Amino acid sequence: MVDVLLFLLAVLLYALSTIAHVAGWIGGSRRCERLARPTLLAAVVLHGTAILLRWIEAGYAPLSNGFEAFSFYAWGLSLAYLLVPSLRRHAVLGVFVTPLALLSILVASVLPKRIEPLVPVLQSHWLPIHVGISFAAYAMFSLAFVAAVAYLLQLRALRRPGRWFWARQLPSLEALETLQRRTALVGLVLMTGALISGSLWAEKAWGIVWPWEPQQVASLVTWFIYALYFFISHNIGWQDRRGAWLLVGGFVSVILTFVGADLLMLDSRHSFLFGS
Amino acid sequence: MHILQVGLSQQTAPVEVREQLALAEEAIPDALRRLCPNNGCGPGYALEGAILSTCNRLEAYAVVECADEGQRDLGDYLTRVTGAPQATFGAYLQVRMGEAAVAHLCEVACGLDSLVLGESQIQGQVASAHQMAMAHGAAGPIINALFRTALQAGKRARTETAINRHATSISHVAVELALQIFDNLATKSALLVGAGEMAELAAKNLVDNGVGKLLVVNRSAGRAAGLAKRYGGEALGWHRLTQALWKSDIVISSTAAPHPVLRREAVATAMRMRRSRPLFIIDIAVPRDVEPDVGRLNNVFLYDIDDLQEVLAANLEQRQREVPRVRAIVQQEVDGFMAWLQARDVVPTIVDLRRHVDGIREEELAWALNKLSGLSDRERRVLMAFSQRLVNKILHQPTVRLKQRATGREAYHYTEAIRDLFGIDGRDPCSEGRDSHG
Repeated sequence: MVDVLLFLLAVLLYALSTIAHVAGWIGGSRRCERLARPTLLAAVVLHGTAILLRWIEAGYAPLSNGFEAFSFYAWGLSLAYLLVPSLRRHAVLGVFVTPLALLSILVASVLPKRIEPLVPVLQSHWLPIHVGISFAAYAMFSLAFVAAVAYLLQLRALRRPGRWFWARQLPSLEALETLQRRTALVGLVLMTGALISGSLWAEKAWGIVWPWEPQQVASLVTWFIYALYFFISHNIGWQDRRGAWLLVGGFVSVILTFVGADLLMLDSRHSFLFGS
Repeated sequence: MHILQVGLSQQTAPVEVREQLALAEEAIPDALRRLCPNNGCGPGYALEGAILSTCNRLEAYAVVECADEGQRDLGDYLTRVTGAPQATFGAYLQVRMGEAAVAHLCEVACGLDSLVLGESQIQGQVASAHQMAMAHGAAGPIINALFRTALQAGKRARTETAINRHATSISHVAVELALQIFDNLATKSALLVGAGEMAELAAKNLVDNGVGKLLVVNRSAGRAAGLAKRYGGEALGWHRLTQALWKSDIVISSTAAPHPVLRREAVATAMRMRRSRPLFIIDIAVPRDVEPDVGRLNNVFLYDIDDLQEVLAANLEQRQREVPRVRAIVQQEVDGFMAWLQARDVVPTIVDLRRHVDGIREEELAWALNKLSGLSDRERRVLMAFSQRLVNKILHQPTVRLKQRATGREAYHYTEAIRDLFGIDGRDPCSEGRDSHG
C-alpha cells in the first residue's frame, strides 16, 4: 500500500513540475523556472522508491501489467531527461518532457494497481532485462521526439522573425540537431538490445526465436524507422526538418509498439497492458 | 527629515536643456562636497546626498531637514554647480519627495526610465553614483540604504523578470538570431560582403561574441584588408565571393551595389558544397544584396533589414510587457525601505534606545543575581528596582530632549547620533527584502 501512496504523491509532483515548467518557460516566471527541475527530481526519487517497494512486495520486477508499464515509462523518461548531460543546459525542453511523463502516469493511475500473481510466461529473469532495455529505448526515442518537436518549433520561430516569442528560448537548431542524433542513436542501440533479448526469451519460453508477434513486428518497424533516419541524415544530408519529421514518425511508431499492438491484438502473448 | 530628488532626464527635458546641466565626471566630487560638506555637519544644502549623472539624466538625491526649503535650495544648488541659470531649466525640473523619490531611483535602476527600456548599463551607473557619494563624504546611512534598495530592485528586476532579456539593437538582434541557429559561434565562420560602416559594426559584434573565423570580401581590396586586419580576419578578392560562401556559416551583406550580389544559384551551389549545413544570411543593404528567393532554400535563413526591425519592435514590446512585474518588485523594495526609514524617526529611536538599554540591564542583572547566591526575596527586589531606577534616571534626560527635538531641525542629527553611539542601527532594508522574497 505504501507504494501506491508514494505513487500518488509522485503523480502530484509530476503535475507540479509540469506546471512549473510551463509557467516558468512560457509564462516567464523565473521562480517557477527555478523550481521546475528540483520538483521533477523529487518526483523521480519518490516514484523510484515506489517502484522498488512494489518490486520487493511482489517478488518480481513490476513490469507486468498496464499500470506498471505506464508508470515505469513515466519514470524512465523523467530519469533519462534528468540524466542526459546536454539536457541540463537546455532545461527548457522539460516543457515537453514533463507533460509526456505526466500523461503516462495519469494513464497508469486509472489502471488497476493490485499486485496479481505473475502469469507463468512472465516468470523469468528475462522480464526485467527485456522490458527494462525496451523502456530505456522508449525513453531515449521520446527524448529524440522532444528534441525534434523543439527543432520544428525553433525552425518556425526563425521563419517568422518577431513572432513566436516563446520558441525563441528553445535551444539552437544546431544543439537540437545534435540532441536528436545522439538520443536516437542510443535509443537505436537499446532497441537492438530489446529485439535480441526478446528473441532469446522467446526461444527459451516458446522454443521459437521469432514468433511474429504483433508487438515484435511493430518493434522491428520502429527499429527500421530509426535506422532509416541515421542512414538518410548521414548519407543524404537530411539534417533539417525532414529528419525531425522522421523522428516524430518514429515516436508514433514507438507508441504503436507500446500500446497499439496490445489494443489491436488482445490475444497476443505481449498483451498484458490492459489486462485480458 | 525628508528624502528629496531633483533633476531632469531625457523623458522630461529636451537636449538643449540637458546639455546645459550636464555635469562632467571630474566635477562630481566637488559638486558632492558642496551638496553636503562634512557629511551634513556644516552649512550645506543637505544632510546626505548623491548625484546621478549620465548622458541622459542629472539627478540629485538629498536628505534634508525641511522639505520646502530643501526644494528651493536644491534648485539653487543645481544652478551653482552647473552654472546654468535656473530660468533655463526650472520648468523642466522634476522634484520628488519621500516615497516618490525612493520609487523613482528604484525605477531608474531597473531601467524603466531609460531610453531603451530595461537596459542594464544604468544599474552600473547607479552603483557608481553611490560609490562616488561614499568616497566624497556625501552618503550617510539613509543614502546608503536608499541606493542599496534601488540596486537590489534593479538586480531583482533583471533576474526575476525578462525586462532585459531580448536584444534591443539591430546588431544584437543579428547575434540573437545567430544563436537560435548555431550552438557555438567559436566553430563558425562569418563572411562580410562589403566593408562599410555597417559591416564594421557587425564584425565587431561577431568578434565580441566569439565567432571563430572572419572573412571579408569587398569590391575595393584595400578597405577589405583594413577591416580584416582590425578584427583579425582574412580579406579575399571579390572574385572569390562564391568560394568564400562555401566556407561560411554566417553572411552579413552590406554593399552599396544597385543590384543583388548574391544570387539564388550561387547560394544553392554553396549549400550543396556545404552539405546543407545551415547558412545564416543577414542583408542590411538597401537596395538588397541578396535575392529574396534565397530565403526559400532549405536550411538557408535569410533576413533583411525590415525583418531585423520587426524583431527589434517585437523585443521592445516584450520588454514593455514586463513593466508591471518590475513595478511590483519596485513597490516591494520601496515598502521595505520606507518601513526601515520610519523606524529612524524620533519616537521609534526612543523606543529602540530604551529596548537596547533595557536589554543590557536585564543581562547584567541576571549576571549579578547569579553571582550573589542566597539573596532574600527582599534583597532581590531591591536589586531589581535599583537597576530599573538607574536605567530610568540615565535615560530620562535624553528621552525628554529627543522628544523636544522631534519637530526641530536637528532631529536627524540627534537620532543618527543616538543610533550611532549606542550601536542601534536597525535592520538593513535590503537584507529584509531578501529574506521576505527568497
